[in-house]
Amino acid sequence: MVTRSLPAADVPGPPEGLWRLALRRFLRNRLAVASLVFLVLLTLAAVFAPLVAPRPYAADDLLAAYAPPGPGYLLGADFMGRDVLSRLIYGARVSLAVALVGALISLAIGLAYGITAGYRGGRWDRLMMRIVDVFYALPTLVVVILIMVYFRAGQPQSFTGIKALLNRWDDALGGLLFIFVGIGLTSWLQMARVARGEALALMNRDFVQSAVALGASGPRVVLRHLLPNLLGPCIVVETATIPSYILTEAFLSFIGLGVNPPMPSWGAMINEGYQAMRSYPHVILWPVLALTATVLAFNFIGDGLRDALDPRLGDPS
Amino acid sequence: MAAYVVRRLLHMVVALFVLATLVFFLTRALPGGPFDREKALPPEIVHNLETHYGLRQPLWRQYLDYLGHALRGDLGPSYSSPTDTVTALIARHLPVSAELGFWALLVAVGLGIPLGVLAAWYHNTLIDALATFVAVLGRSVPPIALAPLLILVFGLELRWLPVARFDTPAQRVLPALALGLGMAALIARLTRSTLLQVIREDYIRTARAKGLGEWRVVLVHALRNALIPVVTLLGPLAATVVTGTFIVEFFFAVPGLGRYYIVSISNRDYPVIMGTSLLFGAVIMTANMLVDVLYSWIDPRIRLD
Repeated sequence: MVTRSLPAADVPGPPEGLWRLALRRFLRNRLAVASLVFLVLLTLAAVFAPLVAPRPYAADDLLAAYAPPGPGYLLGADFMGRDVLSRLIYGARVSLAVALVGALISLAIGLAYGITAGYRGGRWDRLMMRIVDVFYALPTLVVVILIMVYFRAGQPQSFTGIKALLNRWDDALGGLLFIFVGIGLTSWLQMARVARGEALALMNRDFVQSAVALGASGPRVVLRHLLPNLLGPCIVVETATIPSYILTEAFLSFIGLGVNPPMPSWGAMINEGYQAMRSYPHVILWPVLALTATVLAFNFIGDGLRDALDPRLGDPS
Repeated sequence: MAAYVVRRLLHMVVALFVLATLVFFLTRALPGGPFDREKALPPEIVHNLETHYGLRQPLWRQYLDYLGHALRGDLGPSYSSPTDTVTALIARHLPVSAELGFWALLVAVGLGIPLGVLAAWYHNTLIDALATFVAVLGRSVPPIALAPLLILVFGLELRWLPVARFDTPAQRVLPALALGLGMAALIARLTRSTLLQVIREDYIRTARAKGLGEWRVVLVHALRNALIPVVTLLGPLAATVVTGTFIVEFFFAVPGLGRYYIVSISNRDYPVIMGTSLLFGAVIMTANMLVDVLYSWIDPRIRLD
């Protein structure tokens, strides 16, 4: 005899937390999971680039310039005979570092600023958000270009004081520091707006009001009640913004304001490939595909996170 | 309403002022002057030139002069082509970019809205899934990747279309696509989701109850209201058009302002960089403001604050 088991939903058990539930929903989204796997593999390749890449990224061999894809150079060689695959792998370091640092800066500053404004409310809120409004109106890419032009202008050896120090660090990072600064200076504004909106809405909710009424301290209200509850929507927005950091870096390197050569960046590789696109299209094709795949993966993950963390936000279906 | 418009205008003026200030002080902080030459000029001549260009006045005075001149449309001389003023350069190159932007917007709206309607019409079918996938793809392939792909496929492989310059109609096709397809994807996505929401409204049921055909209900009654939120995209789209032209004009050798901007960055032609940045900023901010005002005017339910 077969006993029918009850449907799972009827079995009383410990209630599932928001994050566990979100994880389950996320894992059901095949595109998002595939994208996550892709990004994890890409990250591993980038971190262990010296072990994974067939050659050093700057090793040139002029006799092999523009070599077609083949056993010697799996994806071909560029105009200096450098291995395209190796440069792609090292270039992933730049794109992923920008994605990570951009997201961290934006979350750290944006959350702190936005929550403060939302928690304080009143005059503080108005003043703080007015400032954000003004800077938010500035076009991001133009501001980043201006900042990069400023940092990259002139001879570094003529700099003094803090600028000389910054330049040394920037050199050590292959030109990444100023890219981080440029992106960081502009990226937190949107996050501040989102976090402030969420915090303001939460402050009016009963559970926060009662916590305040019971005499909970400011830090306690912020850390225990506001932060955990607004983190979800903020992460969704942040994930959706990450592609724009990657594209900003690619653009800066494309126009020569980004990483210092010979450090490879996908944007710089696209520019190098463009120079010989008619005769050797393979050189530009690979960085274009890598950039597209990475942006696509972040977008799929962003959509998956949005559906998982806040189903109300999704497209009606 | 009037108060809202005035407040938005004030915001924009403040933001423009901040941008102009940033532009001015960054320019001044840059190393090297306009009169640096391989062979040093005699100090007397440098002195005279500096007097002529007002560079010997106190900084605050120069700053006020710069703002005053910029307001009157005078953005100073270009370093790399000294016979031209920045304003003349902009006047020469901007119309080309504006035209490219127009074609791109046409692509965006002309492809985006039908695709969105199609996806909503065949909601939850294979066509919908396909249209949605195309939209996600379009959103994820930025101009910096799309432009070379279009050149490779349609220009070099199939040889259907020319890949450079901007003289004949055929030469306008690929740049307009490179700039417009991503926006078309955004529009399609938003059109689909708002159309699906609008379809559930009472007045749609009324229209159906009146016995109107499905085509008429969707295309006239529903789409008209579904397009309202799409208007909000026009602000970000203006920004995308402006910054997208940097890349697209570069790839397709279009002699517009975007390409000139990139070239002047490589040449370190600071007055051009600064003047053009100011112009781009003003265009984007104006577009954003117009969209917000337009939106609150089209849909009175939007709260003005």
